[in-house]
Order: sequence, then C-alpha cells, then structure tokens
Amino acid sequence: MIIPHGKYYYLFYKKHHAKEGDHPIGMTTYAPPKPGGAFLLNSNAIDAWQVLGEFAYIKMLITVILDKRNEVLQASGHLKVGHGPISHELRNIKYARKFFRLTKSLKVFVKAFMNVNSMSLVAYPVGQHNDHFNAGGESLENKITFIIKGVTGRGRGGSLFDNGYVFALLDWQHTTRTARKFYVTHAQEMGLGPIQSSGAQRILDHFFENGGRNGRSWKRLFNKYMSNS
Amino acid sequence: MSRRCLCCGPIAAQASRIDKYWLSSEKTPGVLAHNDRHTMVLCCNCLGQQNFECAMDFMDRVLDKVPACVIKEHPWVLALRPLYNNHTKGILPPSHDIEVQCCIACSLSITIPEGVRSSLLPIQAPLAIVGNNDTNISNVMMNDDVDDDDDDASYNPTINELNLESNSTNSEYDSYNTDDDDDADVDLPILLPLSKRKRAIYEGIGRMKNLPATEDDTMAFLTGYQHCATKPPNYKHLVQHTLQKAQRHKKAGRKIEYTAYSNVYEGAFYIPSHNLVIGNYTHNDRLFVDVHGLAPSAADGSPSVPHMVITKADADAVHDYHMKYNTKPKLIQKDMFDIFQLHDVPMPEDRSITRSWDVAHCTFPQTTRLDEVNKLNGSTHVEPEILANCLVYTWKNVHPDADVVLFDGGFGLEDYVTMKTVGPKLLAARMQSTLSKSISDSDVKTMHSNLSLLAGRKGFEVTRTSGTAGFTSPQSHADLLFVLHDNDSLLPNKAGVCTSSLCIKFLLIMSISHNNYLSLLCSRCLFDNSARKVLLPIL
Repeated sequence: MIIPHGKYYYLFYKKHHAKEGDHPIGMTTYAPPKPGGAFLLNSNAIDAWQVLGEFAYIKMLITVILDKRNEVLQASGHLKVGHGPISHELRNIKYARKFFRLTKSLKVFVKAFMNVNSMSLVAYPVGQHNDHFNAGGESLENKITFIIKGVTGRGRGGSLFDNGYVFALLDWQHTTRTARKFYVTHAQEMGLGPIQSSGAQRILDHFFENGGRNGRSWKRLFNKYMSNS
Repeated sequence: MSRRCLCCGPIAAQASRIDKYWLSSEKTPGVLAHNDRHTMVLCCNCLGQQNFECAMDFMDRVLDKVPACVIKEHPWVLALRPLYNNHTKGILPPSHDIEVQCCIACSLSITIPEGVRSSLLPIQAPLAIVGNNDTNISNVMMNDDVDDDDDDASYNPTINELNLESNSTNSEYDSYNTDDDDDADVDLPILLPLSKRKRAIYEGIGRMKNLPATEDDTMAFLTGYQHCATKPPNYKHLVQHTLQKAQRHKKAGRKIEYTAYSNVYEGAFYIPSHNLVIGNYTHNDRLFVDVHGLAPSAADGSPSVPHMVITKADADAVHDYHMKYNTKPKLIQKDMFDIFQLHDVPMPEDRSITRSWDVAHCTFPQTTRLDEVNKLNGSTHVEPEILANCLVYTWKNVHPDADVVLFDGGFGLEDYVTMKTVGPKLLAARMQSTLSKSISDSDVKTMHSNLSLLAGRKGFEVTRTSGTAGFTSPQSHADLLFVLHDNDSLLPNKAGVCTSSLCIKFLLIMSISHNNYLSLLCSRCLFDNSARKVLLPIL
C-alpha cells in the first residue's frame, strides 16, 4: 500500500517473517525516484577515470586553501569560515598523508582519501533542501559536473551549450569502515595479489602478522582507518 | 471463485496483471490459511481481495504511522475506518464480504491520470571499461545455462522447465525438499533467468566493487598542482568560436553539435537566503570543481543553508521575464570581489611543499531569513521575478584572475544571540579549472554508465526524503511504480509472502515481487543466515 505525502511516500507491506511481538505490517518511506543516488566508490576506479582522483585531490586543495585563509582571517581578528567541516576534512587529509609517507605514491594518497568518502551521482535538478550528514557529522561537499552528448533529456541541467545530458558527482564524508573496503583499495600496494572475493579480514591479518615491517606499517594504517569514523 | 488475499496471497501490491502471477495457495498452511469462511474486502476497481484480518492489520499500521491529515480523504481508509473501530472493540466483522472503491494495491495507481507515463528509463547494461575490465572476481549470481539471447520479454519458461510438477499447488515445490530427514545441504536448483540487461548489470556491479588497481601511479600528474595556475579559460572566446564553427558547418550542410549557448540559469546552484545564483556551465573540455559547506556546523553553531538547482522550466521562465521587461541577469561584477594572494599554502600530500594561490572572495549578505526559506523545502520551482533579482555568477562574468573563487554568506538577518560568534558560511568555493583540461565524451559515457549501477538503489535515488526529489505528484507516482517494477533491490524483496511450505528443517517461501520475478527464498529453519534466494521467472 502506497500513500503519498508531500516530499515522500509511505509504503506498507506485509512482512515476510514478522518477529513475535512485532507488527505484521512493515513500513518504509521512499522519495519520488530520481536517477542517481549515493554509492561507495572503489577508489581503484581512478585508474580507469583519472578525473575522479583529481576531483578528490581538488577537494583537498580547496580544504588547505580554506584553512590557510582562516589562519589569515583569524590573524586579522575576523571569524573563521567553515571551521567545522574544514577541520573534518583536514583530519581525513592527515590520515591520507600517512599513506603518502609510506608509499610516496600520489595514487595511494588519493585512494586513501577517497576511501573515507562516499559519492553521489545526481542526474536531476534537486529541489530545495538542507544538507545533513550522518550522525551530525561535518563535511565539505565536493561537486563536479559532466555532460553526455546524444542522450535524451537534460539530466541535472547546466550545460554550457544547448544540448546534452548533465550529471554531477559529489563526494562527502562516509563513516562506515570495513576491512573489505580497505583490502580492495590497497591490495595492490600491500602486494596481496589478485583481489579475492571473500576473507578480507583473514587475508589482512595474515599479511599484518607475516608481512614483516611492511605488514606492521600497513597494520597501523588499517587501525587508523578503522578508528577514523 | 478462489479467495486470494492481496497481501498474504500470491498477488503483489500494484500488480497490474494479477492472473499472471497466480499460484494456487489454498492448501498452504500458516499465513495463507484464509479460506472461504473469512470475510474478504473486495476491490471494485482492480477486483483484488484482501482478508479482513489483513486489512485490519494494514489499517492499524497506517493509522499509527501516517498523520491523520494525510489520510483523511483516502478512500480505502474512509471505507474501512468504521469497521476498524468496531474491530478494536472486539466486534466481529460482518459475515458478508465488504466492497471498497479501491484497495491497498490500487489506491495509488487509481490517482494517476490516464496518459501519465513514467519519465524514467530503466538502467542499462554498463559499457566496458577500457583498460581496467580485468578481475578475477566471480561473485556475481549468474547462471550460464540461461540462453544469452533471452530477454525479459522473451524468456518465459514453464514450470516444467524448472523441474516442477505443473498444475499443482504448494506441492509443486516439494521436489526441492524431498529429504526432510537429511542434514545435507538442500540442493536447490539455481535458476536465474535474468535478462541479458540485468545479468550485465549484476556483472557490472561486481566488477565495479572489485576493480583491481594497476601498478602505475596514474595520479603522478597531480604534482602539476604545485605550480600550475587554475585560472578559468576564456569562455566568451570558446562560445564565440564554437558557435561560429557550428554556423560554418550548418552552411556546409554538415551536422552541427550546438546551435546556441544555454540559458545561464539552467542547472545553476541557487541559494534563496542570499539571492545568489552560481551558474553551472558544464563542458567536458573545461572542467571545474565546486566545494560547498552548507550543512549545519556544531563547531561554530552556524545553521544549514537551504539550496537547490534551477530547472529548465524555471530557467526558461526567467529568460522570458527578462525579455518581457527588457532586463538582463544581474551578473556579479568583478569589482565586487576582493582578490588577494594566499601565500605558503601547503600541498595536501606534503606540508613541506607550499605554493601561492590567487583567490577572489565575496561575502553575500543575507536577504531572507532561513525560517522563511525553509518553509519551501521540497520545492523545485522558483518564481521568475525572484530569480531575476538574484546576483548571478556564470561563464559570462567569470573572474579571470582567480584560481579559486570563494562565495561566503553572512547571517545578518538571523537574530541568534550567538551570531556574534558565528562566522559567514562557505556557500561555495570554485576551483575555476582543473589540471586535466578535458575528458573525452566516451570516457564520460562509460563512467556514467558504470557509476549509475552503483548509485542509489540500482541507479535510482529513493531514500533521500529531505526534499531533493521534490514533491510527490501523479508523475512521481508513475515513476515510483515503474521503479518498483523494474528494480529488484527495493521493496519487492521485503514484501508480499506468496506461499510457504514448512518442512522439518526448511521453510520454503515463494514470494511475489512488485517486479516481474517470483522470489523463492529458502532459509534453513529461519535461523541460518546463509539463506539463499533464487529468482524464478513468471509462471
């Protein structure tokens, strides 16, 4: 049963397995469906589309620029701008920097940063709303737009010329940490061979214990990753 | 006539072809124990039937969860509310069946005017990723035995093909469960008659989630940011050059890509509380990146700033407004910006490496109180006279001397006591160009095609209820029904028990989906997390 209400729908359904004492009818809410949505990007995708890596890097660049500006503002007696989200992003940059120190690779650095962010694909003009992040967290929201030619529709809109389907990619903080995500992202750098479809934690533990100094270094990064929520 | 309950029988809510999904279930124990003695709620619109007890369960939940004002005119609620009141008092239901104008299955679809069709397209199979489509992962649910040439419409095996006895009731599925006393794994046939499209989608998702890395440092070029400027390109020159070229092509009878530049308002980022429009002038050869900090901040106590993207319809309306009143967009003039150089800015990867950036900055005063603006959350429409009065930053007035442009917003109209300690908000920071100046159209297409698979619920955003998707409407009703039908990661997997067979160690559940598949869920005594789900075709 679907009941529309303002900005969303109530959907009622009979539960498959209602637990004892639970109501047999379940309820969820859905917004009017639109193309796109949030997702966790495997940061190895930057090998296929370097622009995604650059996109993440620019967020870091802007963060350090804004941080520097805040230093200048504070020195001249003005209030800081966006202090909360900038601090949060600086923490993520600091985390990613540890990977750069270990590997001297900008790719690993960018991947580590992307690993603590999630993305959204937006292919429609969003209605008026306020941003909120999980658990009251703070984050800067990064946005880049692309155009696809020869596709029906306008998508998000905002093309320089008069044709094309525009979509935006955004990224923001993501607090859920999993061993699998860390493993898939850094398997190559850790020298763990082809990615296996299961047993990420077991593979990592084995590497941390038997990987010598390198294993211990990666273990520290892994622990930092898991605690960086 | 068989008595088939909509919600615990084999009929999905919103299913348009009820008979298509029918599996007899009268002899099924447990949840399907309704029989002719039960009072049924009969729908005059779709001829659906619902057991009275089930209807009361739904009513109970609806009244508990939905605000009264929303359902005060809902025909199904209105019809059954008196009976529900009696039911809660312990009064037995009438012995005869109850007729209603619409039921739980069709109460939404009945409100969609004839001719309104979904505006959404099904998500398509992904394009191959060039140079990185190699993975050893094979965790995608697949069945290679299924004929590759089959598609949704054409693949329609009979029940015999599934090695089941036809024309039987629940015993059809006893063949799955011949050895009730055997502890061994149940050898269920893994039949996945997915279409080529859906199989390709599953494969694509698996591939994207497990993309392996290459050995090259493909990001080494980012060191260029240590010294390169990111000033904007000359958009006026680009537009002029492109359109002149298009004219020449047109005269030569060749196919032309563009005829004009776009309306500067379309797709622009609009901040109503500050009357500011930050234009979006997307071109794959001229990339730029925006960063926003509009969420509420606990660190400085600043509130969130509502924002939206201007639709084509609104952009056209404001264009017409300008034409009618002979006005022009209020472009932000260069002298409104404060331009300065930030020295010794560290690079993200290494604080010891620094550089200078040219930054243009402007603080925009607040023009409307936030509580006034927030009343319009969810709206996708802005009046043209409001937009016409906004300050606009777009390719026509892009600041040519800045690497980064910062748009701050003050909170002058908010009367918070603490406002003296709340600094301006970062409305936007725009890196005016990127180091890699362009991306090929084919790369964009491939990227979009593959990322769409991961986005939201199989390519559709349905869970953000903050207003980004606008308000519900007949069009969105049609869109929702389309997505529920096409998408197998949504409600269908939770809803609608069809038939169940309780065995000694297994419970077989045939469930009906909103989409075109029947789901067969086999869970071992309901306790084992290794439940397997098999999709069967429509019978």
